[in-house]
Amino acid sequence: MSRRGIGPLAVAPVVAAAALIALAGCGGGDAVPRASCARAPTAPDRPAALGYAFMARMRDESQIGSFALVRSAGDRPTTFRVDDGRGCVAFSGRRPDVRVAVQSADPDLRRHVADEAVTEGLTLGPYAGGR
Amino acid sequence: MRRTISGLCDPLRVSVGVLLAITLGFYAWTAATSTTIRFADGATDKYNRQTDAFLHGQLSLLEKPAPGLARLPESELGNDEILAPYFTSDLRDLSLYHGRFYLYWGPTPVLVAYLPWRLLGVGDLPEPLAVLLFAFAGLLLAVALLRAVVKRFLPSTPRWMLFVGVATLAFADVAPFLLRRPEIYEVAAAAGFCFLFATLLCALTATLRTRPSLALMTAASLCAGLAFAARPTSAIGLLAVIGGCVWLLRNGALEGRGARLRWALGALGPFVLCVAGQLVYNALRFAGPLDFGQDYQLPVGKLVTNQLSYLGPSLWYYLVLPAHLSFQFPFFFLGPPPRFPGNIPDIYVAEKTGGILPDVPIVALLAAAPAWISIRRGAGSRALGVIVVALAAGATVVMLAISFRFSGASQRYEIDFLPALLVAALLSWYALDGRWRPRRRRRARRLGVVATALAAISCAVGVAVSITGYYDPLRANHPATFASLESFFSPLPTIATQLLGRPVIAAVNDDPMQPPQRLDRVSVEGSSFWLGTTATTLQLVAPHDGTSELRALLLRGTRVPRTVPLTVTVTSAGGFAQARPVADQRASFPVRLARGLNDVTVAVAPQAALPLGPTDPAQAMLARVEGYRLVKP
Repeated sequence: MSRRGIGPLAVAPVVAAAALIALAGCGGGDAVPRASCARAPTAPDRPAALGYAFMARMRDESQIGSFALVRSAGDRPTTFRVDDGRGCVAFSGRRPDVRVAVQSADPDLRRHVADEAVTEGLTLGPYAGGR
Repeated sequence: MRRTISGLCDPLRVSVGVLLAITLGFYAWTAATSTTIRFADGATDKYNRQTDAFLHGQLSLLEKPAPGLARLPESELGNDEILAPYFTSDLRDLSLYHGRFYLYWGPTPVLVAYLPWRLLGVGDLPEPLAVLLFAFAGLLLAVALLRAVVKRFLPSTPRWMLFVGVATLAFADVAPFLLRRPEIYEVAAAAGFCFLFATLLCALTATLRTRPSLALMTAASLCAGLAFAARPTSAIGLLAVIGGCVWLLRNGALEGRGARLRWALGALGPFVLCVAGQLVYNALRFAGPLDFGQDYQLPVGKLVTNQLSYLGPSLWYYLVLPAHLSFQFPFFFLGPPPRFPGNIPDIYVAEKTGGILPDVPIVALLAAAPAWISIRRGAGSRALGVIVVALAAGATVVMLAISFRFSGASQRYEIDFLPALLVAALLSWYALDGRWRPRRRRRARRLGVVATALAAISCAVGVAVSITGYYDPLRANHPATFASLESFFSPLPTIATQLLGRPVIAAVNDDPMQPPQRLDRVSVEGSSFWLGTTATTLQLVAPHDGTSELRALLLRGTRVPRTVPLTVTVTSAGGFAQARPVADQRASFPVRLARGLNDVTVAVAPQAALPLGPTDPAQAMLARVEGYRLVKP
């Protein structure tokens, strides 16, 4: 009777999958409280809105997943909702003197916005955006 | 005499000799095109400064820190504000302790290469040459180790398989990558690699000889000690020395108390002396024998080491993260990005690193080891199994130790464990082939095809990432050479676009790693970039001559007033230029393309004076080109 091998090729995918899951699952996962603009109604996408390019860059660099323009009236700052309520980013002022503010319980998002503000030469101020 | 001549004419020897000569040429070319090699006195690199210090009878470097820096307490070495007035790039990573500069890197390269080189009277040993010497010597030792094991346990291995194995060790390994930035980090790493394999080869041959050789085992012990004093993790080779002695003892080869004592002294004595020397060297410089000086590095000071939280990201980068495939020459680019998907400690920094499993897929042949180890029997195959398992286990232990120790990953660290994995994987392939070939010839042939394909991929990725290295110095320092290589290999991406049936945008300003970072993107369509006062160049590959359309959303920069009109101009082959206003809307630019590689420039011009100062960062962000892609007109 021949003695067969363990069949490593059959076991390898299972081991690899388990390792990937273990590695990918290290840490993270804490729920972040939703920001004040989380339930505000949104407006259609408007690339001409103040700060749109700023938000697009953050999305392209994977610092945020998505953003949506919050519907607002009057002189209120132009506000974007980030990742369905992970944070709110508001822009105000007249170009080239543009101010940006962020409200979020997520320190990573706050740090990314602050970094981008420095990169673009925007003034970072206290949040007084929509809702 | 006839035997010598026939040996020289042996096809395998000739072909391996030619391959090694080509490898040496490639290694030397890589080093020479990465930095300037000067054979002269007065070299300012760190190991030459340490050599100067030793020749002056002192352990600290000859240069003195500025008085303010010398008085700085060790606890403030990571304080950017305090360091700023004193810090220059040539102080980077020097250890500053009690008012003197030291090197934390081990002294082995100085003792075995830099000091002897001074005796030749041809000036200081250039760093690139030191990396080349250690890397190539390490390769020769690895090849010799592979050959010794094959000759003893797998003598019927086909010659072409040995040739593939040598090519794999030469090009799939990290040595070519090290040579693309041949600095002190790489000198120490290459020296560790060299002496690790010297240890393994000496220990193996000492053990397997008809009459076991105490001299060789002593040499193995010395090499393990030198490996320790080059890079402590490389001292793992000592386990081969101990293992060899235990094996001889169990097989009755060391009879008599005197013989055992001599072998114990020979196997451990030189290593213990080297380690003791290193510990004394540490104690004379720093706080104690176990203080290697890493906590006093400029400009970071004491780093947090030995954390379990480093294991996840490091193992991800060392094992899993594949090189990014691209239409852009040299076609494979190391990440990150993308980053490790789990939690990354704040202080963790990953440099360019490639996952071994996807980038060096020939190591997958290790998975075959349980098959032939369980099937093959007899003392010979058991010993071969022990060698393969020991190599793989040793490499794994080193990888885990490095991953646990350092708050970051880097491609150069793979020299500490990848070569052993390669040798083990090749032996695993040869052993399985030896098992199958007599009765399952077709299966063995299929295995050979698969293994050769895996070896070819491994070598291609290894060479490709060595073209770029950490900082792309070949393109920066030798643009004409880089352009020639790019042109030579241009049929590959051109054929790929012909198969695809459309042109692609391969890179922006020669960078194919454009966000969003995803591994399934081999071109950069859908990405975005800022346009400032400097034009941006897109690298396009076209399957044939023709016209295409570049479409994108053109956005005005956040701080650019609406009263200033902006125009974007796209210029393609033959100076064909098309201009469109930046109106926060989609725009389309016809572009003319020639078959093969094309450069298309994109520039923005304000039509009135901007209210921005010349150093305002917004000058680099006048317009944003969003989601650009090529479409058929």
